[in-house]
Amino acid sequence: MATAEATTHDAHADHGHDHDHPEWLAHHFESPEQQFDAGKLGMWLFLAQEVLFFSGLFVAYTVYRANHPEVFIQAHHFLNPWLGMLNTIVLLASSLAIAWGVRAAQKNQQQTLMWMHIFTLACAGFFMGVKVVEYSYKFDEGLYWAGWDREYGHWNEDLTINADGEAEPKVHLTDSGMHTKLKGVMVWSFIIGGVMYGYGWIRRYSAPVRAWVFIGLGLTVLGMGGGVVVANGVQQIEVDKHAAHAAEGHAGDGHGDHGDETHTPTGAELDAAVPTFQDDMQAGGDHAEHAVADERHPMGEVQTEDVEAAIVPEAEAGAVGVEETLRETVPVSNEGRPANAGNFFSIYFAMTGVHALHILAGVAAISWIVARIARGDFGPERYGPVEYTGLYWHLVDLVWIYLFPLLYLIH
Amino acid sequence: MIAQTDGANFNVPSGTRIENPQGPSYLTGGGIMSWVFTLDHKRIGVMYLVGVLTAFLLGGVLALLVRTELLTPQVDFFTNFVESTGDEPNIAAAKDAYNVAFTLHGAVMVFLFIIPSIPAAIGNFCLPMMLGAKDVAFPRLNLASFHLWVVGACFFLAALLTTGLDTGWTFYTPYSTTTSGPVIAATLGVFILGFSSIFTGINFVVTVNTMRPKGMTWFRMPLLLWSLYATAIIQVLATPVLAITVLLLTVEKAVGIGIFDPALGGDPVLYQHFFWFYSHPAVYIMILPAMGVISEVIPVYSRKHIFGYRFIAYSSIAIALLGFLVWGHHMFTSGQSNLTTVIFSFLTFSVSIPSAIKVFNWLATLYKGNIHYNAAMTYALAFMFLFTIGGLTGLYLGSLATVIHLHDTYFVVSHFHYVMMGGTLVAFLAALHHWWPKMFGKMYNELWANIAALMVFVGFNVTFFPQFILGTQGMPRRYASYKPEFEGLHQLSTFGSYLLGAGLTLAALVLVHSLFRGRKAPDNPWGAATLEWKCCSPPTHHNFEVNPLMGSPYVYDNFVEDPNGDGYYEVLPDFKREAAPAEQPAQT
Repeated sequence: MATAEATTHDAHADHGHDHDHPEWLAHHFESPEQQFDAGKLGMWLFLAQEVLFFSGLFVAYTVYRANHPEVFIQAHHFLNPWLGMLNTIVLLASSLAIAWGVRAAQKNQQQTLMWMHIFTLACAGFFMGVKVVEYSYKFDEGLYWAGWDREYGHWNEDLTINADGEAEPKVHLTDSGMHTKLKGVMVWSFIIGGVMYGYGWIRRYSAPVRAWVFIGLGLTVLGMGGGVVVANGVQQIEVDKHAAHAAEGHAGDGHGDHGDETHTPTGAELDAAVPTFQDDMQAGGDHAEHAVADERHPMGEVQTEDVEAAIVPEAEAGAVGVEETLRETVPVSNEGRPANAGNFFSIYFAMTGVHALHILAGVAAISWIVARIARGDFGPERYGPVEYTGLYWHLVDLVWIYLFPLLYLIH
Repeated sequence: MIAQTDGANFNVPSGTRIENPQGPSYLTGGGIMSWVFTLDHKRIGVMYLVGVLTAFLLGGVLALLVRTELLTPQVDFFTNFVESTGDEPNIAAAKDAYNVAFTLHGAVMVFLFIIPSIPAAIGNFCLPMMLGAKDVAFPRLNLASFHLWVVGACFFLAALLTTGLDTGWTFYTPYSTTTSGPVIAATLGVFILGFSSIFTGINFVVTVNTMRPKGMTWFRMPLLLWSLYATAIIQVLATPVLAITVLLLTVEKAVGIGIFDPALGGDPVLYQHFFWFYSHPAVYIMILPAMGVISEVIPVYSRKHIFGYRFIAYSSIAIALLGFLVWGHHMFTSGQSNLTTVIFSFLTFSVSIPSAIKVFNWLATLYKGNIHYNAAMTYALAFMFLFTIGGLTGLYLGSLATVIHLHDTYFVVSHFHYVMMGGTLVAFLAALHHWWPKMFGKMYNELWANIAALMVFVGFNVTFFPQFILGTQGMPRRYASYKPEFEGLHQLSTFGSYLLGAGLTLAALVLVHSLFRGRKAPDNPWGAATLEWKCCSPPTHHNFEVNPLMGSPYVYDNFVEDPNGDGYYEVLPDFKREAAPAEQPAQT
């Protein structure tokens, strides 16, 4: 350090000449390698940031689970692990495809490169389709996040009881009008931004390139439709199984196996045909016993204190007409849903919702890559953006790999 | 080696004087749109500078309003801002207005001014040049970061100005989920500002890692770059936690997701953990770049190599890493277990080690230095004084015995103002004065700038030192009224704040005046050895017309003061002169 050493960096000397500085190499980089390394490091840092972003949710999950163990025990009955598994497979397949796409770019296989990305888009659409079905079933069942009632007052009225024991509708969304204005501003920002970007995009890319993007997005939508159809089918199988199971009565030996699977709540459309958990509870008799026994199986592992802590007020439980003994072990609220289920579904919607937003961002990014593939931007010399987008997609996949067991397979 | 020569017997050394061909300055050319959509890091830095200074003006005016209210024990000043009920002034509404004012002051100062001030404004301008690079690694991301800052600031200000946000800048739950204030808009603003900060951080890390030219080794980097690098690591690793936190708080407020709201089975203390897991490291986002600036300024104006270069470099990284482990000391009184508080207390103390390393190394640099009392140096010396007081009073707040007494009193207020304002703001002013000639190509009036610096220093101490005493006497923070016995100290503090405000105004006038009437700045007015002084003032669009010679950033022997008072110029040392001619044609 003490002596000044003069070192010109020679690479600068021939900057500006055409050779060795291809047109796509940004002016401030010396070499394609430097540009590639910078991009890759930037992407990894972004992914580190993403991991920490999700880590907040995982910590919240941990705290929630510690605070409300009984809710997590019950709640897995309301998620369909087959749908989760389906989505896991789809995401893994898409991750494989996008990695294959990077390889194709390195080997200059343009067709493979393109179709691998379009396949990934279709998988993303499929994933979102399954999510749509899952969410809509949850909403049909009335399984919202914890605070839904505060605005609509549908269930869990006790949550709004104030310190004096009086029911009190809480001021929730503020009346300042600010939020309405804010929503307006946001909607218009999206519209204006969309138009501006759309215009810029049309100017930037030629018609065949745009056609490829439309193909990609079209297949995304098709994939989404496929996801909806398949997910409804899977859900139906579960419902049928449940119905068959219910029809054959409450044979004790059946419960052991069934515990590992699910007691899946069904959609509103099925209410008429199939007894739901709610109906089970209200009907009493065979159905109730069956359902309750079904519920009790995992509860056996829970500490009694935990279970009792979760018991809802007698007034509500009494209304459903279940025997006293059952009420003590099965926390149920007035409409047959587990008390405080919202505490689980808060975290469920938060985690899967944020993940779904990342899927949508991935769709946008991959569409952009599709456009650039169609323009012929990528080849063995230059595949940085393909690889960075692939890395991002792997992260989205990886987060799901953690979400799936934590939310769906939890017992 | 060429000896320092004074003006009297000055003779031009026989070495090759290195000249910069003057190209068009980065400031000229193009209309307003060429600024808004520029990819030039220098223009983005200047735009950030304008933005953060505007935010600082807003926050500063609010601070003066708050201090004016505290001139008397009664709530009287803010009654001027609210409608009175009949003949009586509406005290309750005035108190609400006071709450809104200090919330606005805190939130604007933290999120819009202090956090982006040095990294985004000064850092964007200086980092690529100090590194010898043409730009940051991702110029588009850099521009996106600035645009996000503007959008976030708009959200934030819209929320803060239309209706009263009275949560304090920390948005603690459950109050923030039940108040009728516009928490959603503010938290969305913070969310967007967070991404702006993350993008800057990613850009800096990648730039330092991949864009160092040949010859720029890690240990030849100026210390500002080390501290910006450490800051960038914190920005990338801590900010996303705040992002998810404020996102959850937004959803909480909008639809009641129930993660933080105890009425819905949530955990409000979890919010505090999340918030401080970001916001304590954010304290180091604020102070680390400030320390980097001081590490640049002190050796230049002492004309002496920085003492303990590697220790200062490593201590930046150490502060960044330790900063992640101390968030719990914000929750000593929130019901943590005793063991946890002891551990967090211990970790909190451990941060003082790298901080002290820096301070002692600066002192050692000053020792026997040839000290030039330029305005930037005055600010740097003020920084050392104020930061030391701020750091030492932090120990009272990190100690479990004393913090119980001092928690949420004016002692805390004073402590963090000494660190954040006496530290970051004063260092920011030092940076502004130090790099002003490089940024705008104009010299300001040194005498008046120095007077302003002294006013800031005195005004600051008169404002905040009485608050330590108020705090130990039990004056709680965030109250619009107080017991009459505190009146004297509060008045002293308020008068100090007026002096401080006057000093800052004078500094602003001096700088603005220089833009119009200032003497043209030489390329290297201070004789600094870092690379940004080897390009023109103001720099050309591509920074370096001549490829700079990479050397130690703190060796001043090769810089000779121009006898005409036209700054310093560099000559090649003797032992390089023989080898040099072959390299000189590198001029383009």
